[in-house]
Amino acid sequence: MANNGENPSPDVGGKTVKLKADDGEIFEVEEAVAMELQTVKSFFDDDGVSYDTVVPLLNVSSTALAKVIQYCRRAVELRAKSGDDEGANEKAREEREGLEAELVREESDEGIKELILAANYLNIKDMLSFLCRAVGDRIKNKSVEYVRRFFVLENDFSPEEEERTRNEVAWAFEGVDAD
Amino acid sequence: MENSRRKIGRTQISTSKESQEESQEPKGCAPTSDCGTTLQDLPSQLIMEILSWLPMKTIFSCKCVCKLWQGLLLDPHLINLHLSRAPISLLLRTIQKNRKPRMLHLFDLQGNNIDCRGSRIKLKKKSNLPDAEFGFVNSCNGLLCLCEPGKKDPIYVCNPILGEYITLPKVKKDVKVVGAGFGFSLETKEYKVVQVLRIMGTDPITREIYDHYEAEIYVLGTGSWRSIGKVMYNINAGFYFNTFVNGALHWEVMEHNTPDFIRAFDFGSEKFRAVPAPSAFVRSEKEFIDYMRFGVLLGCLSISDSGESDHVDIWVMNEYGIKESWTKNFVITNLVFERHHLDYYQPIMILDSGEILILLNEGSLLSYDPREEVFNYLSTYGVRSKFQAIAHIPSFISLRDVAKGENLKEADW
Repeated sequence: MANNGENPSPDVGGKTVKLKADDGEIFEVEEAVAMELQTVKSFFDDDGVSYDTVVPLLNVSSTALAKVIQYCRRAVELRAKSGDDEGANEKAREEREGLEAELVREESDEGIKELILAANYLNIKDMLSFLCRAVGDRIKNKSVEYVRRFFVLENDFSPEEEERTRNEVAWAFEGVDAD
Repeated sequence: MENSRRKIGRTQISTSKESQEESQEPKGCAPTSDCGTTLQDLPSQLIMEILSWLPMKTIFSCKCVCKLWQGLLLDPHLINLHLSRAPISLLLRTIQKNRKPRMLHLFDLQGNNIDCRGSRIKLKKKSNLPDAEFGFVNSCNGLLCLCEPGKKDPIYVCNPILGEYITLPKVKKDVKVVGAGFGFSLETKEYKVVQVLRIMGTDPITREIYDHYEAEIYVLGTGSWRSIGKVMYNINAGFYFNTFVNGALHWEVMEHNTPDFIRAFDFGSEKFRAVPAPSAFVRSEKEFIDYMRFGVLLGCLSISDSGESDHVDIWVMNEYGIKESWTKNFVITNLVFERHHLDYYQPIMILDSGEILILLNEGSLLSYDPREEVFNYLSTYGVRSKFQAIAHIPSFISLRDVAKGENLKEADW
């Protein structure tokens, strides 16, 4: 059973869950962390599925899964830290924002895309929230063509339709970043 | 590790290595295309979430990406989501002495220097705005209200970003509009314009001279003004700065012998009510020159007092309606003197950096750093004349939706 070097072994005695990425690599994670992934939670919520079952995540690469687990692990820890104390809550919130910013800063465009698709597939609400914002930052001030390439979208406008739409917003094209 | 085996009536997920290919997908994945492996398969909700964070110019670019996205950008969910998180921008209206066409300049304050071309969008007559001489009334929820009462122009409500506007019916000839305000009723979700009229004349029968103030209200979509009765005091409704807080606009009562000098016009109840002023606040006795300005800072009603010549006090009502919650948040002592004792400082908003954006005498834009106690003159790209300035949230709220039935004019693209 492979265990990604980045993920420390889970606490002895706690329940763990095994997740399998698209390349077969298996990640053993604490139950609390695994349940952050709504997809995994639903998998076990169904009748009769034991916690021993390895959850196959066919649409998630091992690189993405490792990062997701790392984030969720820290998020669960930080959530445990915050409570009634406003000061502690504020600190936990700042730390979480720092964590998100770091994760996003290091990623290439392809990396961000892979992460948001993984977070979507795994249905992790918090991650999707900041990843949407990160994707927004990647296409901020970019041209129409750039956005199409980034999202792999076909231009389905007729030449007349496209010209009309562009004319309507012509003033918005000032100051666009060079691709 | 316990095995919680429960009796089931369907296929158990296989855990053996050989049957990897046959294993079922986890049940959390919806049977539609939500489990896409390319970005284009992301659900519309997520695409809208992404779009809602974008600066306005990029949103316009996205309109041209494909038909699906063009449709998404008209989706009310996205429009409201965008409005809820759109950063506040700076809107300037130039005061031109010569015959140059009036223009509004919208500046994006997110990080960039506002003295660069990319941070500004020009909003022009006929393409974005009505073809009239307009002044600001105020901005509310991404819609802008314009009027030039001196020129007997009607009041307009517009969304300059969409190039839409509606024209409100003009007042009768012998009536003078002394002030107007645009707001939103939280209860009925309607946009309304209130105007205060000064009605003077001589009663034809009794020959008595009358001179009083009345208020009228116009609910967008109804097509006509409705009287809401006399206004018992002289309120200073001439300033255009945003004072819309908690569903009401706030104005100063001019009579100096009133302790409750703050009056709120509530757009829900359509009535005026008193709002407690800070107990320690004493209005300047200097008449004819008004040093006190209301505003909104960080979502709270604020008072900026330039009454004393050597400092400016900025008070903030931290909890709406609670007299004790007024605090003197800022005392600005390191003043810039332009006209000496006639200077007035109007705070527009507090920037992300903590600096206060201030309009000085309708011609200078300053940022004040309360920690360093230093003013910085800001130059705005392409604006050389005097100007009015307000905070405005550029939005995609369409008058077609919020003012149904109105005669909507759209841009001449």
